[in-house]
Order: sequence, then structure tokens, then C-alpha cells
Amino acid sequence: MRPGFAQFGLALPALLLAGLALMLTGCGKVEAPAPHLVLEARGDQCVEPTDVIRRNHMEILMHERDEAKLYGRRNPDHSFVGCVDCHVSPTASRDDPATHFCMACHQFNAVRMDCFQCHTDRPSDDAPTKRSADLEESIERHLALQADGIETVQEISTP
Amino acid sequence: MTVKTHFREIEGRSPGYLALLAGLLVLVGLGLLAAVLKGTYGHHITGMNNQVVWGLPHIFAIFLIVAASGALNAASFASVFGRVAYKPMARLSGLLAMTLLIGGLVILVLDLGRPDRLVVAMTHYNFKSIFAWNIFLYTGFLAVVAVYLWFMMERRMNRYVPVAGYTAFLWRLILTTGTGSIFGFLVAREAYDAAILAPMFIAMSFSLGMAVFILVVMATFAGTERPLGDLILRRMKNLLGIFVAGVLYFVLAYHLTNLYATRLHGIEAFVLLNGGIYTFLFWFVQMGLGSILPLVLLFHPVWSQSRRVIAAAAGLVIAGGLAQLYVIVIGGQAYPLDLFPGHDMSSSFFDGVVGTYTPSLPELMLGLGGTAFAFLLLAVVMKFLRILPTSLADDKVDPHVSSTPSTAQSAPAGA
Amino acid sequence: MSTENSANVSRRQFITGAATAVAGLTVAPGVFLLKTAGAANGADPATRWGLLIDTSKCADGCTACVRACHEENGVRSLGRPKTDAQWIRKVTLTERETGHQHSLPVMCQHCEKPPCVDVCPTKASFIRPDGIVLVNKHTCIGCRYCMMACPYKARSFIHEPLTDQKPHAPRGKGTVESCTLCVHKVDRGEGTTACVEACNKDGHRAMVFGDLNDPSSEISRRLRQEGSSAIRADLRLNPAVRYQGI
Repeated sequence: MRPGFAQFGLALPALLLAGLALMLTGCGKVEAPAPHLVLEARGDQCVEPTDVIRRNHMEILMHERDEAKLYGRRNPDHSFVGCVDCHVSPTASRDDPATHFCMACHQFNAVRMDCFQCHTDRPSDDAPTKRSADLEESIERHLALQADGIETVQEISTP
Repeated sequence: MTVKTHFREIEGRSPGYLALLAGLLVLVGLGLLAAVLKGTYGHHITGMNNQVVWGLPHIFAIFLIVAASGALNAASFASVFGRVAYKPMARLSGLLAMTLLIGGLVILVLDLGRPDRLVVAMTHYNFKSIFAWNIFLYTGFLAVVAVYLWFMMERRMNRYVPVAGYTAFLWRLILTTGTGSIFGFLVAREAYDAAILAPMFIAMSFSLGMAVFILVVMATFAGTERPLGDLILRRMKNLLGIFVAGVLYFVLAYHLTNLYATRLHGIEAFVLLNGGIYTFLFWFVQMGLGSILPLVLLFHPVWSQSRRVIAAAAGLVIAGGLAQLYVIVIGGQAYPLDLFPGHDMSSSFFDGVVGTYTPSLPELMLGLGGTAFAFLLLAVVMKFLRILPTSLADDKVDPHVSSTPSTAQSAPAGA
Repeated sequence: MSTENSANVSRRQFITGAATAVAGLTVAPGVFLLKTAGAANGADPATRWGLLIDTSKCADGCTACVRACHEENGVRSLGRPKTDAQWIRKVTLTERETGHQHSLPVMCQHCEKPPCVDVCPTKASFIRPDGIVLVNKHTCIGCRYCMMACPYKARSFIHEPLTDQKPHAPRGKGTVESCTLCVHKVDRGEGTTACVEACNKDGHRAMVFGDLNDPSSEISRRLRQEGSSAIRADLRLNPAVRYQGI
């Protein structure tokens, strides 16, 4: 051992302890930021029950995308375009996650997804059938809430 | 009677060494910056386009990969061909091979359109693709040489060194064949689709690897002020000359064969006569500066005695190698595809015209960054591991030479 | 918790099924209603989709097919011709010896033995059971080796971030793409491609789309009666895009 190494002997454990202490200060009640008002989804119900789709949408999407791409077996019930058409606001953008149905959750949970690098991130507005009465209703409700000064989902009182 | 070689870590405290590390770090940083810019804005900030899809970064990467394979020369000469004189340099040879390969791979991965999909690349394989095989060959090479290095450095594993040496040698031959086959397997382009490209790349690996190795040995021994005798240097420079001649042979065979086929006269005229930059690089840099001049310098009875000349020759060989890769990779892509023989083509997609390509700054940054990373790794590892022999003086290299007080005297004339 | 779930599974399945049907009909009537029996089972290996292009009917200076394809698939020029993607282009040929000129569209030839599929390291470039050669952009790493390998220079690389893609034609930075033979239209059972539709609409009728393996299809009948050739036929790639008049 080179001379002068002994003084490092104490410094290293001290540094580690300090680092550990710093990490522990981060522990505590995490205040989740209130998710912003994202436009309400259209249609009566999601293609799967909420808890199922919330947990498994990734597997469903991955499976369906391979089936559709590699074999041409397209399942309209699980179509990705369908998800976007129902859930995403026509004015949302992947660059402003607060407005985008998918990106809002994904950004909060820090789960990376690159779907929208290739897939369009909003419902197409050139197909009039997609802008159904549901969508117009949704937009009206959304705008009404914003006009009332309600910006986040947490501000909406649940019955 | 074997000469016991002593290996020692380099001191690594001199201002020169720290300045070297700093400089290399800056280059690596620039390379990373280029990669981030490319990831954010896309490849349109580079000179690569839909006509010439592989550019300067690939030249650097292929150079590093081919040189990596060749850098293992010295170790192979010791372990496979029994040349005792090369044994002291075997560890440096192995380490240099690994770091050069890593540098080349870093450039290739960062140049991908989707480098974040590297995990996909490593889990989805198409075994008909030579590219997929190369992924195995490159990573496998790193593993094999790492084991080889360990066997060389761990006393009780020394007896397994020949096995590891043979494996590494065979592996590098297969690897370099794979690298050449990247182009050799392409039926679409007239400059490629030739079986000779694989052995030509093997010859290039010997020559470029030796050139880089000579320069690295000279630089590290000069930098650490360890004695470097003329004996080993003379042997290496002779070998370099032979390897350069070998590459020249393959280039001649390739072009003469192509010239015999009328349908290939277009591409041959493009490379040899009217290809502008490609013709200049071929004749002036690859053949002139990179082959003929080094041959003269390395075999001249008087000039080849000087270390500066040997270093210059090695540098010229490297320049010639880079030019050769530029002509092969970029020139081969720039020449238009002949979809309709006997017809002139024109379209909005640049059919029928020579593809234009101008190297851009981000590409240069990426290429230099990867190269710098390779040498940064080398410099750092040499500081912590016993890679570099303490002396390559003549008496240490060859036990038959009596030790002389001065190692600076030049060896007797004769190439 | 789990027993409660398992007891309700059959009821839940029924409600889900019914709701899905309603949701499907409400949300995507276009896709749902146009689905035919063939497309429902995916790409049929007994089919081989192909194009027949009669270059004598191809008008000089007409780019209807090019415009239609790029409009259909959202391929826009970004003002950088060297890096802009092109799925199809009109090539003007001038015979060197005689000076004879004519033009024809060139796109991905959907070879039976595609070199691009052979060289792709991740199998992103693949051939569907019905003969359409595609790039699976989920797996494409953007190495551009397929672009080097393609004998027809059919592929393009996306050199910048894209927005506002067409929902049926996802395209993104860092991946490679080429003519998909309008696979989204084929899978919907429309039996045509955007380029063929436009050519017919313009009255030139130079292009025919159809099933090469079906002897009664229009394309097969014409190929049998009139013959055809392929670009770079000496490479023995057996492309699905056949030409007359080259």
C-alpha cells in the first residue's frame, strides 16, 4: 500500500454513509402530481375491463402488433389506431404529455414507449366517421370543466 | 533459454499522459455530442442520404474493426507461429485488438437509426445475414481475446496460452472474412458481389493492424521512456512491407478481374479514371501514398533504418487504408445501380447519376470519438494492468544478441 | 379477491364481448364493415400479390402513381431531395444506341427471394406469406444494410423526426421503409393499390394489381397471354412487379 492510503480508509465508508443518508431523505410520502384533465374517452367502454387493460395493455398491443405486421392478422378490437381514436384528444401532442392520454401516464411512471415516433399521436381528423357524436360531447364536457377553472383530474369531485 | 520479460504498468502521472487523456476525453465528448444531435434531429444533419447510406463513420468503424483483427498479429506470431521475439508484445497486442474493436463497435452502434434498439438487435437474429453473424463474431472476439489475455497474464494459466492463441487467431480470420463479406455478399452493386473481398479484407487487416501496432508500440515506449530496440522494430517493419505487398496483390487481382468483364467496365472506369474524388483517393492516396511509397520506405536499405521513416511509413499505410475503405464503401455506393443495361436513367430519386456525398462534421466527430475512445481505453488499462513490457531492447527480445550499453545504435544494414 | 373475479368471469366475458362489439361498431365503422372473409384470417400463403405495368401506356411526365402513393401513405417532401423518402418514382429511360425514350414507375419489386430480407440482421425486413415485402419498424434498428443490398434502390431511410403520419401508414425517424403494396388496403380487401387506382382514374390504365397465383385473375391472364419481364431479371429474384415494354 502506498503511503497516505490510510487516510482514504476512513473517507470511503464515510462517503458511502453520506450517500445512503441522502438517499434515505428521499424516502417519505410521495405527493403525486395531479394528472391534468385529459379529454374523456369516447365510446361506451374500453375494449377490455379497466383493470385488465391497465395492467396488460402492453402485452395485448405487442401481441397484436406482431400478428398484424408479420401475418396480416388484424384484430380491430385491439387495434392501436382504435386506442388512439377513442382515448386521445384531437389537439393532444406527444410533445405535451399533460394533454396526451398515453403520454401523461407514461411520463409520470417513467415507462419509455416509442410508439409515437412512428404512429400518429392523435386521431386523424380527415375521417369524419371518427369524429362521432361521442367525441363532440367529450370535447364539450372537457371545455366546460376547463371554463369552470378545473384543470386537473383531482379537482373533479367524484360522486 | 527463454528470456524472462518483465511487465509493468505505465506510470501515468506525467503531464503528457494527462494531457493525452484530456485530449482523448474531449474527442470522445464530441463524438457523444454528435450521436445525441443525430438522435435528436435525425440523420439529415449528416452527409449520408438515400443514395450513399454509409459514410465517414463507417469508414472509421470498419478501419478500427479491421485494424483490431490485425492488431492481434503480434500475439498470434508468438502463440501460433512460435516467434519468441513477439512474446513480450503479446499482451499489448491483445489489449489493442480489444480496444480498437470496441471503438469500432461504438461508432457503428451510435450511427444506427435506432441505437436504442440495440437490445432488439441482440435478441432477434436472422442467421442468413452476415451482419447478424458479425454481431456474434465481434462480441465473441472480445470474449476470446479477454480470455487469451487472462491466460497470458495469469501464471498458472500460461500453459493454455497456445490453445487460446490458436482460437483467437482462427476467430479473427473468420471475423475479418465476415467483415469483407458484408460487401462481398451484396449482389446489387457492381463494386461488391465479389468473393475476393473477404481475403482482401484479411490482407488489409494484416497490413493496417501491423501499421497501427507499430505506431502504438513506438508511441508508448517513447512516452514511457522504455527502451525499444531496433531488432524488433526491423522485424515488424519488414512484415509491414510484406503485408502491404499482400494487399496490393489482392487489389490488383480484383481490378484486373473486373477489367476483364465488359459489364464491369463502368465501375472500373469510375474508380480508375473518371470518379473524381474516388479516382484521386485510389491512385494518389491508396496506391501512391499508401502502398508504393511505404514499400519503398520500408525496404530501402538506408531510409528504413530511421525510426521516423518507419513511423511515417506506418502512418502512410493507415492513410492508404482509410482511402481504400472510402473508395470501396462510399465509391461503391455512389456508382449508380444499373437497372436497365444499355439505357441512361434519370429520375427524381437520383437514378442513373453518381450519388453525391460530402462528409459532414457530425460524422467526423463520431468517427474521431470512437477512435479516441479506443485509445482512451488502451491508455487507461495500461496504467492499471501490467500490459507493457519494461524493455524491448535487442537483448531482451533475442537472447542471442549480447547486451550493449547503448540501445540507440542502429542495427547493421539489410532489410 | 380472486374468487370474486373467477365467479364473475363468464358474465364479464359476455358483457365485454357485447360492449366490444358495440364499441367496435361505434368507433371504427370503416375498418369493421369493409373487412372481408379473406383479410380476416391474415395474409394468405396461397396468394401472391403482384403488379403488372405496361410501360407503353405509361405517359411521359405523368406522375399520378407517385402523387397518389405519397398522398395515401403520408410521404411528404421536406425540401431535402437527397434525404427525402420516395416509395415510388418515375424513371425516364433513354436507350444509348438509338435514343429511344420511355418512362416507367419503379418501386419495391417485392421479390420472391429478396436480398433485403437476407441481409437484415434483425429480421425487420421480411416477406409476408402473401408475398408482400415489408419493414417491421418495431424491430428495425436503422442500420441501412437493406438499402445497400436492394438491387432496385427501392428503400428510403427516414432522416428526421416525423409528425402527422397517416394512421394506416406509420413512419418514423431512424427506420427504413419502402413501398408496402398498400398492404393496409390489401388487408381491408380493397383489391387495389393507390398507384393502380390513380393510374386507372387518370385513364392511362398502365398498371394492374392482382393475385399472381390465381390463374383467373386479370393480372394472371394478361401475363399468360402477353408475357412480361422483370427489371434485373438476371438476378433471379423473381419479383412480383412485372413490366411490359422494357
